[in-house]
Amino acid sequence: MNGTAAGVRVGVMVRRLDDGHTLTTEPDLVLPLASVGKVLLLGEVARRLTDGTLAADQPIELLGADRQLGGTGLLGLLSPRQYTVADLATAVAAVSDNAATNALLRVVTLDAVRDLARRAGLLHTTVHDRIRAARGPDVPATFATGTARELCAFLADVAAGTWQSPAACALLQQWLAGNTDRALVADTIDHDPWSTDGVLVLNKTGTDTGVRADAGIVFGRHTVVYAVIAAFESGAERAAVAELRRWGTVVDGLAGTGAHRSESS
Amino acid sequence: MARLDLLVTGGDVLDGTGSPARAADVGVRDGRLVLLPPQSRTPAVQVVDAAGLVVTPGFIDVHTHSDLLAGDDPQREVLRGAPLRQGVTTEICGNCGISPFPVPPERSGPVGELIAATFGPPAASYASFPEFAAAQGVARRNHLAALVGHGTLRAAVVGFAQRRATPDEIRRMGELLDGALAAGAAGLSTGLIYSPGVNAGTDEVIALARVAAAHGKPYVTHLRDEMSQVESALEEAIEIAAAAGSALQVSHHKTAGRRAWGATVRTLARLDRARAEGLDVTCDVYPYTAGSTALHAMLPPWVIADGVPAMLAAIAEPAVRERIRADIVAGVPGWENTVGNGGWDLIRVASAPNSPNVQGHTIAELAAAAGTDPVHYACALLVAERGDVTILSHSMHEDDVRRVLASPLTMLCSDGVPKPGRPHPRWAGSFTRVLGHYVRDVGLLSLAEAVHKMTAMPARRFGLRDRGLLADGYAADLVVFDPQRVADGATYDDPLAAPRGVRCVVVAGEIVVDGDDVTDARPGRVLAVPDREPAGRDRP
Repeated sequence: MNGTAAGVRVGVMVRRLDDGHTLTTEPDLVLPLASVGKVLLLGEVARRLTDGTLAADQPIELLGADRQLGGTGLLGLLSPRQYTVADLATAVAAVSDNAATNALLRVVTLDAVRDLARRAGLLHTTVHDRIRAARGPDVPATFATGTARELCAFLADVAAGTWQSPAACALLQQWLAGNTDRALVADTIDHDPWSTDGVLVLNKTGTDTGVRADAGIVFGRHTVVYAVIAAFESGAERAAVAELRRWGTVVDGLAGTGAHRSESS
Repeated sequence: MARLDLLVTGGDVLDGTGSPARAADVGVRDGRLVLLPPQSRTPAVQVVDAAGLVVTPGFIDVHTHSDLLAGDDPQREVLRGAPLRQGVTTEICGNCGISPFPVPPERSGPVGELIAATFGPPAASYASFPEFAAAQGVARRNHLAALVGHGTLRAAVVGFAQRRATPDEIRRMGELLDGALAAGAAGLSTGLIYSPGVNAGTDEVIALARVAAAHGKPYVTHLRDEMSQVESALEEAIEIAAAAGSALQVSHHKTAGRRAWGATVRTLARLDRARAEGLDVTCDVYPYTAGSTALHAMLPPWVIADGVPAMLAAIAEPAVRERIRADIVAGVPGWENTVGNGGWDLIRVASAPNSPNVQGHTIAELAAAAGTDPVHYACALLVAERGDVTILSHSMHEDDVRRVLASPLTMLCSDGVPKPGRPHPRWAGSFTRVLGHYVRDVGLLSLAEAVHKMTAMPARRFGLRDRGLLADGYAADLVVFDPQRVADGATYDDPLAAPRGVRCVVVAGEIVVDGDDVTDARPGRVLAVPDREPAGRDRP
C-alpha cells in the first residue's frame, strides 16, 4: 500500500547535500519516468561533447519520422530540417523536444545511453527505447524507467561536479537550468526561473499518460537534489500533480530558499 | 413549537465560533440543538435556568490518555468524573503514539506490556477500532474519540528493536492503520521520545502520515524533543506533514528545560510561517508549567529498547545503572534527556501504585532520604512497580505556557493521565483553570477566544463535524457555567478536587453533571470519525 490519494503511487527522494538530510517515500520503487529519462541522453551528449568525441556544431538531420512524432517539443513544428548537436540538446532540455531526442539517440545510440547509466551505478534507471507516438506489443512498454534514489544519486554527482568530468557536469547543469517546465515540483520552490540570480532550479520533467515526474537540483541556501515520480490511474492526474507540488514545498524547505544561494553553487 | 426535551434559558450564549456572547435560549430535541430567541418560554420537559450564566458547546479535550478508563471500580469512576465536571463532553485519546488498538491477537503479549506500562494494569488490547469502541463505549457519560498510536503499530509489527523498519514492515503498519482509520479512528499519533516510536526514522512516519492524509485525518505528534532540540524536532514534524500531505497537530506544545525557555517565540513563528506556506498546522497546550510522563522516559532510550520486561531485568544490574548515570550526564545524540536538562529535584512521583508513600515526593528527596543516589533510586522504584510509575516534571516557564495558550494556532488539552495516586492536576483542572485563571483573573484571553479553543477549533481539527458549535442541528453537548465563579479546584496536592462554577453539563441532550452531582445518565459513546476529503493542498 502506498497510502496516498486513491490511484497514485509515488517514489520520492529529497536530499540536502550539505548535511545528507534525506526524506523519502518508496525511493526504490521502479516507476516509468517519461521524459525524465532524457536526462540520461543529455548526460551522454554532454560526455561526448566534453571528451571531444562529438562536436557541438555537428549538423544533424531531422527525419520526417522525427518531425511527425508529436508530443512535447518545438523543432518538429519549425521549418529547418537541420540543427546542430548543441541546438538539439538545448531543445531536449528546454522543451523536452521529442524530435530532437530521437535525432540525438541516432547519433549517440541507445546502447551508449544505457551504458552511461550502468557506469553511473544506476541498476534500475535506464532508457529502453526511442520516443514513439504509439507503443505496440513488439517494442518496450515505455521510454524509460527508474527509481527516485538512483536519480538522486546521479544528480548529486552532477551537482557536486564528480560525475564524469567537471566540464560534463557543468554542461549538463547548464542545459537543465534552461528547462521551461516549472509546473510540477519546481512550481512550489520559491525561485524565479527567468533569473540567474537567487535560487536556481535545474530540472527535467516527465509527462506521459499516467505519469508525472520531476527530478532536479536546487541551489539555494543549501544544495538539494530531488526526484519525485508519480504513476497514476486514469482520472487521478490532478492528485498526482498536487503530490508533486506538495513535495516542492518540502524541497523548498530543505533548500532554504529566500534569495540565498550557497557558496558551493 | 413542539415540546423540547431540554431548554436552557436566560443565559448568554458563546457559540464556539469566537464571536462575542449574545442572549439566547438553547433547546434540545432528540439529542440535537435548537437555537431560540432569549426568554423564549418554549415548552420543555426539563428547564435549566441559566440567568447570569454562560452557555457554550461541550468542551473537547484534544489530548488525553483516557483510553482504558471503562470499568466498574470506584477509582475509575472518580477519574472519569474529573473532566466531566469541567464540561469536557468529548475526550480524544490514543495520543503520544500509544493506543490499545489495533493489536493483532498474536502480538497482544508484548504489546500488552507496553499498554500496561502506559495506562496501568491490567493490559487490554483490541484487534480493531470497533472492538475498542465496543469495550470502552460501555456505560460512558461523555464521548471518546481515538487516535491510532504509531508506537502501538510499531510494537505490533516490528517489536521493540532499535532499528529502522523494513519496507514490508512499514507496509504492514500502514495496513493496520488504514483499517483502523477506515473504521473510525480519528488520526495518527506519534510519541517520538517513547519506545518503540523513538526507533522510527522520519521516512517511516511520512509513510504512515500519508495513510492518515488519504483519510483526511491529522498527524498528531509528541515531538522527538520538547527541550533543547525542540526546534529541529518541530522542523521534522513540519517536513513529515508537508511530505505526507496531512494536517499537523503539535501535541502539548512546550519548550521545556532551562535551555529551551523562551523558544516558543521562535516555534510559534515557525508554525505561523508553515501555515503561510500552506500547511494546515495547529497545536495544543495544557495550562501548567509541569509536565507528566512515565518515569522510564527519564532514562536513555536504550534502556527500554527491548520492552518493559527486558528493561526491568536490565536496570536491576549495577553496571546498567552506572551507564544510565553516565548517559544522563553526557547525553545521547537524539535523546531529549529531561533529567540532564533539569535535575532529579524537578521530577516528582505522581503515581506508584505499590508505593503510595513515595507519591508527591521528588526523586531527589526520596533518594536522599534512602541514602542512595537518584539513578539507583529511580531504577529500584521502577523494578518495584513493574515499570508503572508516572512522574511530574517541573520543567516549563510560565511565559512560554502563556505565549502558546494565547496563540490563535492553539487549542486546549489536558494531556490527562488518569491513573491512581497523585496524577497531574491537569486531568481535573485544565479547562476550568483556563476559564478562571487565564481568562478572568489574568486576562490573557477573552472568554469567547478560550471557548473557541475548547470547542469549534478542536472539532474542526479532528473531524467531529456536528460538534463544537451551538447551532441548529448540532449534537446537544453543552456546558453552563458562571464566568465570575468558574475555577479549577485541582492542585498538585489534591489533584482530583472538583472545579467550581460549573452549573451543568449536557451530553447528547442528557444532563450528566448537575451542580456538584454527577448524574446516572450514560449517553456517551465512542465516536467513529468519518473520512474527510484528503487535504489536497495543491499550492500555497
